[in-house]
Amino acid sequence: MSPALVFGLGTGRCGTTSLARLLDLQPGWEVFHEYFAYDLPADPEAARPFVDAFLARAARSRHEVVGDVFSAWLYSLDRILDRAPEARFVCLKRDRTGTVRSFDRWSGPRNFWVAHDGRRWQSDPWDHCFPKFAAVDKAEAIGLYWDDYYDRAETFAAEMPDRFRIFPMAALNHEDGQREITSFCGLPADRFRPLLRPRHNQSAGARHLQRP
Amino acid sequence: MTTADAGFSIVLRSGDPEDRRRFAEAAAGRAEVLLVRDFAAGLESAANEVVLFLAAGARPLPGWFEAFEAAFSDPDLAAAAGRTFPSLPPTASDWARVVQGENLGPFGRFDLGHFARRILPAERSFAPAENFAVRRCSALLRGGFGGRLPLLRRLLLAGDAVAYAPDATILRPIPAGFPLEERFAEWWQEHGRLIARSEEQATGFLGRRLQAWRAGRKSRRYRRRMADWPERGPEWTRLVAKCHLHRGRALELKLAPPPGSQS
Repeated sequence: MSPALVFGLGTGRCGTTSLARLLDLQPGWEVFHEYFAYDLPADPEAARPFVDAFLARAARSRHEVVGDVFSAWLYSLDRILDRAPEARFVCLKRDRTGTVRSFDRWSGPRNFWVAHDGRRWQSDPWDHCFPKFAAVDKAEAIGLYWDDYYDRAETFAAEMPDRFRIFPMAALNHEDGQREITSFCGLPADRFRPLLRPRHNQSAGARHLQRP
Repeated sequence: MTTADAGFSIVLRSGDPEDRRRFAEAAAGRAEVLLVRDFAAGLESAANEVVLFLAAGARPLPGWFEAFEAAFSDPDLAAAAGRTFPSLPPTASDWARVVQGENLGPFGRFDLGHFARRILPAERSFAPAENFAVRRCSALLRGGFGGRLPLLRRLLLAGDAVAYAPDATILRPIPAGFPLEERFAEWWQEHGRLIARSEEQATGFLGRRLQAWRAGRKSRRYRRRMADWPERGPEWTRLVAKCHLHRGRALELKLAPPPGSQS
């Protein structure tokens, strides 16, 4: 029998690393964090081979549940649902101000959210993983990205509440919230394993932001 | 502006005209582009003062050429190197994905972050195999590509100024059939990590490593890393699994536990 599929979503800087760890911790579950890394583009057409490859990989797995957590899966959701209509989607949401501040700092000299020629901002392989917005500065572009992301997410959540749900980032911080997330993904309550230290990948002290 | 005025030559170790087109476009006509069989021949035949070296299939990101131009506005600079990111096909193995996630795999050792700086003489192991540029006279003075050590390393040993130019970024597509496992297993081992394939008995190279580990013949470096994991237990396969969990990616192991171990 093919394993069930779970996809974790969220803008980024909103607990997706911890979400992947929580889901991967559950017995018989195999959930990655950014399985394709920067190879998975936001453009749904360009992402099609990656969707197909991930679903094929999942079908070969002997785990009960297979999944991946990455913001860009949101843009390929239609394709995923075409191929795997029973897939579940967990979307984390952090407040707009906190997300913008964290991403602004985390991205350093990069700006994933505007089209650029590499002169003002540093070109990066992650650039194509995000949609582009017309904005004067980076913080504004991140804000527009946040607005667009959760507009789409709320539409999906309203259309299919049994398969797509938005959870606040704070749900990861306590066992009840973690139980709610894993239960939505189909985990029986008696098999739940809590994630004891949920705050991973914090920007404070991030090595890539340290100047020489 | 003519090519000769610009002072840059791009040497591609490739026979593909598509590579030439891609880099001519990236340089916007400000550099000559040569297709050669090896870098030594490219250094000999380049007409300009600064020579950039790339292998077949590389894809420059926007701003790549301008970053090298900016670096060589410093007349004292002998060489500069950019960043290389591996790009895997959708069907790449879990194994390759894990390695890619691990600081970009083998390319990661030459990735010094987001900020431009000089390479220090003490960092003489800095020797990327492509996406670097040298001043032709400096390269010839240090023996070109003919020496036992890589050219960039020899420049550093000689005290020449070498810059790290993170804005000069290329993507390096990895072909689907590339033998990643054999090549990267050794590299990962060198970096204090052990990998075991999912749901298979360890054989060959990996099997020998696992056997050595099991027998307690692992290096001191490994033992130190083991001590970092608070949940370490007596069962060695569990330690291997933790090795992956350490980086947030788990590969389930189906290896038989050693005789006498607690499971």
